[in-house]
Amino acid sequence: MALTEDLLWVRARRSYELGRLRATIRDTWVVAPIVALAALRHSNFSLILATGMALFAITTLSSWRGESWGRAVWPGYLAGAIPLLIPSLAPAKSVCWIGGSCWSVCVLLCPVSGLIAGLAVGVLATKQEEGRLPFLAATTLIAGITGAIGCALAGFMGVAGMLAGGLLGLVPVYLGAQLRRA
Amino acid sequence: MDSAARAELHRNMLRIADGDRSAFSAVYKALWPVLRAFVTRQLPPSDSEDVAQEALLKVLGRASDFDPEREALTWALGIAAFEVRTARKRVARRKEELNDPPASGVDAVSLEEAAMDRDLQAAALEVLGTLRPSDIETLRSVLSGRSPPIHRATFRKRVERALKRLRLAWRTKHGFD
Repeated sequence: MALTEDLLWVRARRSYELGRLRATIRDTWVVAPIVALAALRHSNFSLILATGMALFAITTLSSWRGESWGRAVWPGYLAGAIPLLIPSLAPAKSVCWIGGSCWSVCVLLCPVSGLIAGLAVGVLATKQEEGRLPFLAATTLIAGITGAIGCALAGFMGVAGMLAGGLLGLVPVYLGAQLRRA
Repeated sequence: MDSAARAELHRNMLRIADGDRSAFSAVYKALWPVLRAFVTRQLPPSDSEDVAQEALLKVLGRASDFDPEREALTWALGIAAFEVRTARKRVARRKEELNDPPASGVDAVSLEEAAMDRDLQAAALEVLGTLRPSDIETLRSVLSGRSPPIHRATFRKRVERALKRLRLAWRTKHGFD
């Protein structure tokens, strides 16, 4: 039975939004291999599952929202892949002495990889012509969660180090670019 | 739709494909009359409105998959054409189903009724065969609704007699009326 004009408008809008939601799978399928990779290395499955679900929720939301938020998903994954993969490359039980303290190499690699990821996010965000702030927010969030899955291997210190390194790389690059534009 | 309107529709389709909801209204208003006219030209009025609406919902549902290399109007009409084809097939299938004898799904009761009807017809023909040819001819004229070229009162009398003999023959053969 044919719909009235008002009802057709409502259905059309709903159909569009559902179509967008269906299309998010193009961006969110990556969460499955990330979680699988983390599960191979960690023993804390509940933490991995919770982080994976958070990453899935954020990428779905960003991809569905579209525009700058949607464009931020893949750069976020790529930036997050640095702290996700680099700490696991360190040999097991390898340590080094810094300032009279013994540090695990993988713990040290987390702030370093976070710094690289932060620089990458900052550079990508400054290249955006419009919607720079939503892009920055979404990329940072996705990269942060993806990287945290990798740095959780080094415990709380690893995750905190990665976040600190990320901010250290991101903030100067982004603020510098903003100031140059102003 | 002129080329400027087509280009505008293409631009707006790209925007909604990217997630810009502010272009949705413009796409809806540009597409709906075009799709309705396209479908109305190809289907009977009873089906066209439903199919046009379905096509519009499909186009907007797939807006996120819109390929920027394609022209928006051509892409939308392609989806509408597919809907028209599907609707035509549906109508053709419905017609076929109506014309087909009920091969399956016939329940046991109707099968039994059909068998009883066949038996009854066979018994009636058997009894009819015992009547005189003139009685058979009279009864055939009654069943076909044709009056023979004789006086109506005479014909009525012949019918009455033929039926009387038919009843008698039936009673003789089967023992009841």
